Amino acid sequence: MTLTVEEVTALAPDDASAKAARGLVSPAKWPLLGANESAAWGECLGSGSKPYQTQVDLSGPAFRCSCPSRKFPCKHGLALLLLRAEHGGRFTGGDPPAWVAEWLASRSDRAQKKETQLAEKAAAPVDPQAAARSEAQRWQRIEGAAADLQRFLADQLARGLGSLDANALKTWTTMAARMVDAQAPGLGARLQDTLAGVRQGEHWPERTLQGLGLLQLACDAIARRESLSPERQADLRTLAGWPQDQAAVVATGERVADRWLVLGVATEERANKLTERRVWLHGTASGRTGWLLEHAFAGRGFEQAWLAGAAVQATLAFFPGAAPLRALVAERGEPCDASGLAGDAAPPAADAPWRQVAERVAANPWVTLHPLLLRDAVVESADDAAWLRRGDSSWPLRASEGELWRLLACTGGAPATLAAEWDGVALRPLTAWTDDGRPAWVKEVA
Amino acid sequence: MRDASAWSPLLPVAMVGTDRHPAPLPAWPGPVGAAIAALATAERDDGDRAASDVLRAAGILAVCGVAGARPLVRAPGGVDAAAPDTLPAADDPALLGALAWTLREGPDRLKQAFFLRLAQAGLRLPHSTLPQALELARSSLALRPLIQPLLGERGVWLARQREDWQFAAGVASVDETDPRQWDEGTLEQRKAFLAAERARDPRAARERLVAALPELPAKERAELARGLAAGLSLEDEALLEQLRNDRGQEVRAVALELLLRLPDAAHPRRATERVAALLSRGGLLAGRRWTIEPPAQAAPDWKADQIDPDVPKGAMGQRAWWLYQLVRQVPLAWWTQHTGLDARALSDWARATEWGEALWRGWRDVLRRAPDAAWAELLLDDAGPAGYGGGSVHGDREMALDLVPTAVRERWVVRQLASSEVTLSSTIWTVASRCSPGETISANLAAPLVARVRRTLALDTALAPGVHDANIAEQESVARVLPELCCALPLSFLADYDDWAASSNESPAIGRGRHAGRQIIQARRVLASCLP
Repeated sequence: MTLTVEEVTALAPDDASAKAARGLVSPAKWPLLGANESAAWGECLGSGSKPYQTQVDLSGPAFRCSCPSRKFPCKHGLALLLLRAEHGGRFTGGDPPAWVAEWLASRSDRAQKKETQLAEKAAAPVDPQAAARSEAQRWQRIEGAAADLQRFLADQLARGLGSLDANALKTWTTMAARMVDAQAPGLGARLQDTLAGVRQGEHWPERTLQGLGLLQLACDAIARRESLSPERQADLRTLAGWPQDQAAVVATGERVADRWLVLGVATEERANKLTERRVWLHGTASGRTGWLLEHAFAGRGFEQAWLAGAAVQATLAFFPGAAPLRALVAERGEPCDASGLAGDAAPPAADAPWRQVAERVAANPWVTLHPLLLRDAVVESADDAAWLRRGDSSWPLRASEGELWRLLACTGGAPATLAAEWDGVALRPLTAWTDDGRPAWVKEVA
Repeated sequence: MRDASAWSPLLPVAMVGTDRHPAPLPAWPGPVGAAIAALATAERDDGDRAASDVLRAAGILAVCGVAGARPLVRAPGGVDAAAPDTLPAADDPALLGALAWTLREGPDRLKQAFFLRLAQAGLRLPHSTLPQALELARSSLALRPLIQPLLGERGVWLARQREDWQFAAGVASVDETDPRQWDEGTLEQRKAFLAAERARDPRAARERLVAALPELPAKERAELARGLAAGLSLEDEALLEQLRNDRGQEVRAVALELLLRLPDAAHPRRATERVAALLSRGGLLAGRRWTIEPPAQAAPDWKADQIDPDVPKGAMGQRAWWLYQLVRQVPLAWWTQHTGLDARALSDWARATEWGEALWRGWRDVLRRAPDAAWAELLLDDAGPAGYGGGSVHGDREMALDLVPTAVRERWVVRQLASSEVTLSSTIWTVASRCSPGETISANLAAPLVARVRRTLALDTALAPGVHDANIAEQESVARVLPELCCALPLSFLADYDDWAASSNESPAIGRGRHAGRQIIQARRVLASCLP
């Protein structure tokens, strides 16, 4: 598979890396360039006496380079793929040199080992009684925290939102910290998010009530947790910020093998140099939606690359929940034909994506972000705002000025298929298709 | 979308607080209302039931708001979809990569080269680059005419939707004979259309302009009238006479400028007659020398010919002012014909009279408006009479460099390179900035220029401190203009760019300049191989 320049650029951990890579796209700097079906490799002249050995496993793509850069992928890896996109003819074919072959072999070894480890870990004999005891203890603490939170919330409403001053809001921060101490950081984070919106913007009372109302429902649900199904209990666990064990998810989570189409990739800077990446996958046979949520520190990038609009044969393992969305990749196969998105045999009804949102919210009211694949939709700029219109129905789009104009340029006011994230207020566009081929527009890395 | 009105019944109690607003929960219609109403009958052992139920109602509204989100009903934005593009887009991956870099980071000169080649190859810009291209065209008047033919239907469609891109919102057709260009086009497109028609049929173009004049604002009258310069003839005189008295100052200036190029027209003839009357030639005893005597008083017919008898404060003496104004309406060629002196001899003569400054100022104004190669070349080496206050030596030389033919300019620069007085970086700038878009400098100039640059970059920077600093400063000043140089040199002179010496302790500024140059060369190579 040869990636386009835009696709390679989308893999860069940041803008500076993309720029630096562009500066290395000169065959003269690469005394050795080679590639076969599964990998590309090259030697790049750097400042030292020895050239850097750069290699890319194209099935990922996964990168490796002998340079000391902490960025991942580094500029050499990106430049190698850019060269392949732009100067494919300069690459010699054939068997890879030893340093490439060894790495490829070790990668497949490692993948196997990882799987074995996960399997072993899942199968490892733990003291079931001890485990149950510690789990019960943690639930007890969370229930205590939720009861505290509920009293706190009632107190705020008894005094009224109009009386919220700086001093009153300080107690919110204290309360959020107590949630963290009580091992329910998820509740604390929601309180903080609601706090951030107080007295901000025109509709702050509604938004504040919305945040507090959902927290109230959370407290009510936690109080009667034991009467709920295991799936709903799992949702409450996530809500409280108690992560599921990923090995357990891979071992016991619901598995769905499908040809997964990458609907879109959103990358966002979070606090403390943390980068969050959300990858939305659409199972072309199952119709399921998968959500890969990952975090990376300080521009280190993500090991696995996902290209919007590409399709991959893979098995996802879903986290437990009443409306399972988040998943892990249990097995990843070869990239495959990505066509067929716009040409589904029976295109779903226009309101089908919205029906899915409603059903998901009914099952788990605390889902904050929904992926949507909307067809025959026109991107419009009007009345100083951006809209996604279908007939006389319009949804507000949330996009930066630059994103919006590029999206308009690429769709040209014609009906397009748009993948977007819905946060209950606006759609954040991720990918747009105007025909059956590659996407016409892809959201750039933040 | 969240329905704001669903929240209004809850807001009073939420804002004031249940302590001070003790009342049962408000009612909502439908199933949502039923769910909220059920709260009152549920059995719970809450501490503060009233407050918690307000929050529960808010929770129900929040969940149902997301689950039942409704779109906003609004009429379509009134913009039809873009028409399909007829030109093919550039699609070679290497070219797209180089184009993307050039649009983002390349110097304007490189952008110009890309735009010209794409247009020559009959290609348009890929859709995804259009916003960037329109922004460039908005901020740079030099790039705008090169970008416009590459926008295609999609680009024009996009431009129509944004106030500050209206300059490109005319007609997508790049066919300069398409009358829609005149009827619906932007000012730029109308200029192009008029120029094309002027080339085919000067009279038709003139008549089209005359018919349009009454509706045009002054700026557009001036811009379109300027187009008469091509194919100018005495047939245009009547129109120029009319424009010479236009309300708009800029229009009047254009008309006078064009009349200067029609020596047989009545206005310049009157001007030359006025000046001729001031010139006289001495007898044999006086060496047949020419003398000039400025007018002693203003004539009543001056005002009608745009000659202002009143001296602006601090400009010059009254008679000198009058002379200057008369001279600036006389074509330069008349002087050589009338006196039999060439430009250089006239300059020497003027220097010897008391009216040198007025003469020089007048000539320079004429030169700017009606370029003349011989006079421009003179200005390269002749700074005019001492104390001549009409303009800076530097400014005059810059103007002359713009006006002389390329070969003359390059020969002059080669001579400059041999002298140690000029700085290399300013010489590079002089050359590179005047290289036409998409063109490169000749081998005759490239060879000595590259030799000099290489010598400078190879200067020893490890010498004694004073010398060292001077050498580094010189290298850095050259490094700053390396990108411009890498745009202007023929590619064959850049083949061994990587070998242009750099000392081991190259400063960061020099490193940046060399790196930028390398990227430009790479982009130029891609352009040359993809669109030969």
